[in-house]
Amino acid sequence: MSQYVAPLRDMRFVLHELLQVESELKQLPQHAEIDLDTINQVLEEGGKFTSKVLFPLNHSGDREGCRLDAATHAVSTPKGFKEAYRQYVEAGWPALRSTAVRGCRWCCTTLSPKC
Amino acid sequence: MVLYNSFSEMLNAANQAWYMYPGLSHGAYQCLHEHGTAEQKRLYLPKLVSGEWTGTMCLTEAHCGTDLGLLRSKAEPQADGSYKITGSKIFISAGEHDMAANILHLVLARLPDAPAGTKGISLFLVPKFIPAADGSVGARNAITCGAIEEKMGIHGNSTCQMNLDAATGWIIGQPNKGLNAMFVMMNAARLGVGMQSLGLTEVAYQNALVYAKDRVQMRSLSGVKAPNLPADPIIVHPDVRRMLLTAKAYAEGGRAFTSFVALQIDRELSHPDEGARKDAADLVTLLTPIVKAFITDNGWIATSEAMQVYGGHGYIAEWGMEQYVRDARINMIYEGTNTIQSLDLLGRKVLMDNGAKLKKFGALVQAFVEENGTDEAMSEFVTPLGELGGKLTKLTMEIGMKSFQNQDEVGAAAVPYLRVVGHLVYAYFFARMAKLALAKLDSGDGFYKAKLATARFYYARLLPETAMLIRQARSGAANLLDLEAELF
Repeated sequence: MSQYVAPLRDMRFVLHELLQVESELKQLPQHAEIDLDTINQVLEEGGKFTSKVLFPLNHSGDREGCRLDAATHAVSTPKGFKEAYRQYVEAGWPALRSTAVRGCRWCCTTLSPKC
Repeated sequence: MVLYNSFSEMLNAANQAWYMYPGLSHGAYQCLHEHGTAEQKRLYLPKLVSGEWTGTMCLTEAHCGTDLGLLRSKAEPQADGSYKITGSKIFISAGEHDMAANILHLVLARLPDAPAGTKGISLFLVPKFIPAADGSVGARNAITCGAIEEKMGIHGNSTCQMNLDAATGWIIGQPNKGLNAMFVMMNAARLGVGMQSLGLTEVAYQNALVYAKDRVQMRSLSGVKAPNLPADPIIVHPDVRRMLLTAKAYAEGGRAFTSFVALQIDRELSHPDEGARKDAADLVTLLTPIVKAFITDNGWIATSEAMQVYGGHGYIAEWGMEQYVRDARINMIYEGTNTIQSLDLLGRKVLMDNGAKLKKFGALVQAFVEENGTDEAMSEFVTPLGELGGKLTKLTMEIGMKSFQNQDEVGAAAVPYLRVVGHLVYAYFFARMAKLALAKLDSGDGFYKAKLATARFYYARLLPETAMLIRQARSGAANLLDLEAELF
């Protein structure tokens, strides 16, 4: 019933028109390879992953909660959480954050093979 | 970082409770990256980057939350250079779960000879499973979840009580300097919490908008708008629009603001010019408490307004709106309450350096005001923006003077002060966005018309709150402190 669509139009407006990130990032040697198409592609893929994989688990995860097995001290997360995490890791998303430190090699190789 | 920032908004909008599992790994990554030994980096960083392992931060104990100086967990040095850590931690987000093969806990504890207070706290890396040198997962460490907290929201995330019973750990950074190392993680987490509420603001807005166009109740006060329907869609009603526009303006203002901050982090980390790195670092330092507190306070307002659009259905779990309100509430509390953020801003980041960092942001505002001061079409934005900048300068000086007499004046003014600075920041970005929208108004793309309308709404309906906030901030400490505690 409820929905989530990533606000890509407004994100592109902020990144490209307001902040001109492509030319800003060109000044930073580690990020100089990144271009506008790559940025838009990452946003689009991110929108798909979050809407299709994560959003459907939001309400059910809230209702179900986490469970502790007192004997083993193991915690089970709500149904679907683990599988979503597997997909997140397989797609290489965790590395996007560390690109801030290591440069944009990840987004160039993973989501935009052309650079 | 600037690109990740947008993705992070999406992750939080889609599922805040889920994203907290990998989200906390970023702080652990950054902390180890800056303070870890070469061996720690080699062993742990690749696993955090790949997501194979996740991270946590274990700070809070039952008797110490805000005041970490009271911390009791103990670390005993061992002959092999490791430590045995014993203690009990509470409120540990993602403390135990089944999603990753290993969990790296970053734990604050005291060495046996540590001085009292915050100067005697060290930071330790305590993995759930102790890895072998090749990174394979080894023996189970004595750090276990004793209970899951029952809480108001973020139910999908395991908020754990963690017991350490002589658990094996390794020190990160220097002995007794744990808070320095931890603050790297804390600053990342504070920015992350702001993003949580930005995501919630956006998703709550989107759903309220769909509902407002679909739900028909009453006729428009100015006459029937949908004659074929038994009543008009509620989006015709002025106050429903006020609720929607409040959430929309806080989402769009927050998006522009956090993207700007993320870009400054990129500049701070990798700009070739040292001066540019320093300027960017100063802006990030100044703006971090505003990202955390202003966005989470606004997120609470926005999710609540979005729920209100649904009338009674908003209060019913099935519609999903009350979850956003419950989830949003924690964001004002954890990673340093919003009061702590306001004290950090006013006390440490503004008054301590005589406003030097604030002036760097003020210079951006001033340059924009001067550049656009003669543009008639921009005067509805530029005039109030310039005026607010002037008022903030006066307010800062006034509180600074009062604080020489009485430090409680800082605590009494800090919360409204932070909101005034937050509004100056949003007013600056809405003015810049309005300028872009005005230039493209004739393009036929309705996006720009909507952007301009949102900026006008923000200036007309949200920004005027600053007049009241400035009065509150100037009213002084006496109205809070004069009454003896026993007379409450």
